[in-house]
Amino acid sequence: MEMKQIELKNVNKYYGRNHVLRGINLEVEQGEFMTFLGPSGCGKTTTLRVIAGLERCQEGTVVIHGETVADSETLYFVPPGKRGLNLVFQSYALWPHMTVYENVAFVLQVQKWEKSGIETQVRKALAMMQIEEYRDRYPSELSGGQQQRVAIARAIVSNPRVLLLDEPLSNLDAKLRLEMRSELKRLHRELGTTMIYVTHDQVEALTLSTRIAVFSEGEIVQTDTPVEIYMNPANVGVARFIGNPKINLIPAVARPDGTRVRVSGVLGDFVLPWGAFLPGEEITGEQKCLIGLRPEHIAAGSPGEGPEYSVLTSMLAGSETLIEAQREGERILLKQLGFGNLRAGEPVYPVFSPDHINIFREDNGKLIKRALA
Amino acid sequence: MAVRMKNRFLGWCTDPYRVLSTVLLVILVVLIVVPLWEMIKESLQFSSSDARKAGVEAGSWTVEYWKELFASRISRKMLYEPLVHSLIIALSVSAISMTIGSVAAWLMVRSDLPFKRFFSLAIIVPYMLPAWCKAMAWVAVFKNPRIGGTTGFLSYLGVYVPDWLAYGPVAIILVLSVHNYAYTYLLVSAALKSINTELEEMGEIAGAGRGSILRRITFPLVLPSMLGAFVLTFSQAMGTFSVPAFLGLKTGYYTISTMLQSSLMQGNNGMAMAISLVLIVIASVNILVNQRLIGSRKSFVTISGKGGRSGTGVPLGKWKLPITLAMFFFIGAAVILPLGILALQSFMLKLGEFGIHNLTLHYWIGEGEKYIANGLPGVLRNPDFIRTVKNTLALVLVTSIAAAFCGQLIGYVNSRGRGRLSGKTIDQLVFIPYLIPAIAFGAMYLSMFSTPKTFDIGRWTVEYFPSLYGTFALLVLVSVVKNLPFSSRSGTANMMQIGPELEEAAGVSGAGFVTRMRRIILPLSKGGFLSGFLLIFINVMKELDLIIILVTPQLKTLPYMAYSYLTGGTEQYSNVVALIMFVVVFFVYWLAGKLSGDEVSLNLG
Repeated sequence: MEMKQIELKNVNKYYGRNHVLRGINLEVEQGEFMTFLGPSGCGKTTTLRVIAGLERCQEGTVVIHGETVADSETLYFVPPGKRGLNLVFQSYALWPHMTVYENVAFVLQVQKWEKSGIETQVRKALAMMQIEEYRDRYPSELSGGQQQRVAIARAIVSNPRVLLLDEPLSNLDAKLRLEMRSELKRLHRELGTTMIYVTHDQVEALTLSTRIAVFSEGEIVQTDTPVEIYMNPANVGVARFIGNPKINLIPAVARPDGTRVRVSGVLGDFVLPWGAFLPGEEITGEQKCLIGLRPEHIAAGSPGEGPEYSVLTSMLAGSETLIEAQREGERILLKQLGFGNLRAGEPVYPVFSPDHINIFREDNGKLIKRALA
Repeated sequence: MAVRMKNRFLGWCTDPYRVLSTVLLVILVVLIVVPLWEMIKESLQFSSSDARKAGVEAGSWTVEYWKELFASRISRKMLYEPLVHSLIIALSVSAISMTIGSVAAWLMVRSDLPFKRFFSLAIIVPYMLPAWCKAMAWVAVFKNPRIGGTTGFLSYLGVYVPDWLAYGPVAIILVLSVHNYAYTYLLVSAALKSINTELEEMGEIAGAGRGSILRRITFPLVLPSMLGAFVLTFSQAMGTFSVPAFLGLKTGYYTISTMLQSSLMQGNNGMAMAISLVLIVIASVNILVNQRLIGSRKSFVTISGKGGRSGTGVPLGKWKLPITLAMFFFIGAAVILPLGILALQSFMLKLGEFGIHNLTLHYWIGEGEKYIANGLPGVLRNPDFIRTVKNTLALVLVTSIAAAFCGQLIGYVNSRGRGRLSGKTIDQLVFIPYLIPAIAFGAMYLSMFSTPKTFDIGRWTVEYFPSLYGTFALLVLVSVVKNLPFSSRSGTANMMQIGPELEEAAGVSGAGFVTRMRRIILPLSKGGFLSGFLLIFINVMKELDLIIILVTPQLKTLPYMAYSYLTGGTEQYSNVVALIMFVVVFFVYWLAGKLSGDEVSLNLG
């Protein structure tokens, strides 16, 4: 059985009257790459800081590697330096008055390592991040990407059990960001350290993580693998947040129709088996809902195959073409591989498989029908 | 070829940056370099009376004054002793202020000290109260019968006050430290605020203890601004005149600045200028050494992230109560006590008698009585006081506005001229008044403007500077120029925040330079203008050292009035004037805070 590396139980945090973390529950397995994803101000960085010990939660407990490090009941808080973890800040927080070597060696000096041991260990960390040649430079003499590498080297030098990363790539340009992304993936593979990664960039989250925790307004709304989160977002909010181009959300009405369920709306009528809906969310009466449909799951059919939409714009995006079309004031986005040849004003007939759709309740936004892979 | 030259010339003339920087450069040279040169010249030329004695033509070159100062019978009394005194005072004051200021800054910015709102205001009050007011308060408490005249509070109670405490170096050092720590406090707290707290949190994550984080991370990061504060405090203390005059002269304890003033008073100008130059050289050496020290380290510009997340700050734990009490005690001794004593004394008919029967409003609103101070009426009834208030306000307003405006202009040239020679030169020139102690600066302007300056072209004599001695303009000029280092710093910081692209966008839309200034730059720099204005206002309002040798009785200011009452032996009048001055300064500070909707920081760095 895999060991639970980190456990958060009912963590609540207030800044004055501001309730910033609302009952966070989370378990992270050893060796996982867990991402906290969400818009800014949703509590993901605060959660990270609670795990690190930089913030104290007013309610709840934090357990790392089987050892309770924060218990608000007994006001027991282990200081950050004794939690066996390390952190990479968004700003890198490299000490400007120390050289690269001194920055990386600091933690080992504090832990009272022997001089020769420090030397070899720092060299190893610098080599791992491929920055040996900068060891005697000051942070201000390095580029953003190099500073980033130093910050990571500093965080891994003491072999922490957990590595926390707070939006580490957001200060880099697009090209460097791609490079560092694969660098982080390599690091995770080679070190096997549990990593918690905070980001608001869904592409980063989807490409890097083994699991993603989606935050919204101080709560975790969904914790799942990247594929699950993409395929079956737990509610409309997550659906809107994940995926680029955005998911189509089209209003419709679902009602029981004999042994099946009939869904009708702008997209036309289709029927689903009774059991397609999640347990407890079966359709017994008329139910207003939103159909979630990813643009790549819609194809342009021939006349009569689907409802008639009128093309608004056709946008070439290199290997694919995005088509925006409209019917009865409702817009829809579909993605075609290759170069589309539709022009504005021309009709288009979207077709899709009911297997691919999500259905959300309109009133509380919850997912009531999953997509089948 | 000719077209090329012509176009180059036209291009030069129409580039507003070039024109502005050239104009500024010329003005700065005239107002800073020329007076400095005049001063050097005066120390190297016979004055007319000395020339007569020596039997040479007035204005002949000589090193007589320098020889007399450095190698003669009187050198010890004139130079070496006062110099040693000044150095002892300046070093002690810098060390004490740096310690108090830095500790206070850390407590206020980083710790969970209670009553921060109160302390943050109280702690800068000493800065609003002129140093010599505190010297007066000191005398009121510690004066002993040895000097003669009335006694201080402690002697009245029967406590024996030894001479070394009542007057002389200890008194001077303590009073100046209580005044000057504010510079360190302001500079270091600004530095602490700009340091991303994540740098310290990272130390925590590495497992370093509080002490270790302070020593290895926080301290090295604020060290440059502490050294900067040291430079500032040192040159202030070195050149300060009023406090050593109040607390030293009566027992014959001279510093180099009181010696300078007494040489001037005796009409020994050549000597006085030589002493001023010595002061300037010492201040420059001090700054050079410090720049070496700071320059060898990196200047720590950090990416300022969110920082300051953990709102409460470093917990002081069991030290919280003792530290809070110590702060209250300090504020009481440095702020409330001096103010209280000034107020109390202003109500005392006879000084040295502390009893209810001795209280009076005479010095505030009394009509003249011939037994008291030769019939001088209470300050508020004295037409001379009203005139002085008007005069002071006029001087302060004109100076602050002019200085703040010049500061913005210089800031504009500095920020847009980074890396250009003209920008760098202006930056350096503006810094010079900072090096020159106030009293020496006053002496320099006295030397420059006491007679019209002329030069001869063939048969014509061109007067390029009139004699301004005894005019309002001279007081404005000297105050503006002396404060340029501060106002231009605040102007530069302000202009740096206004991206050039804002101005370029207006330029592309066809706005000319004047329009861009008027419609874009100046409106955007309003806040910076206000804080620059405020800083100068407070500086000039309480300024005594700078103008003491330039002021004439018709143009006196409130500090000068208080000073002359004091030296005339009517301390109560002096106290009244000082209190009124403090109230004005405090009110302006408060008003500016209200107007800008935020506590205006007295940005010295």
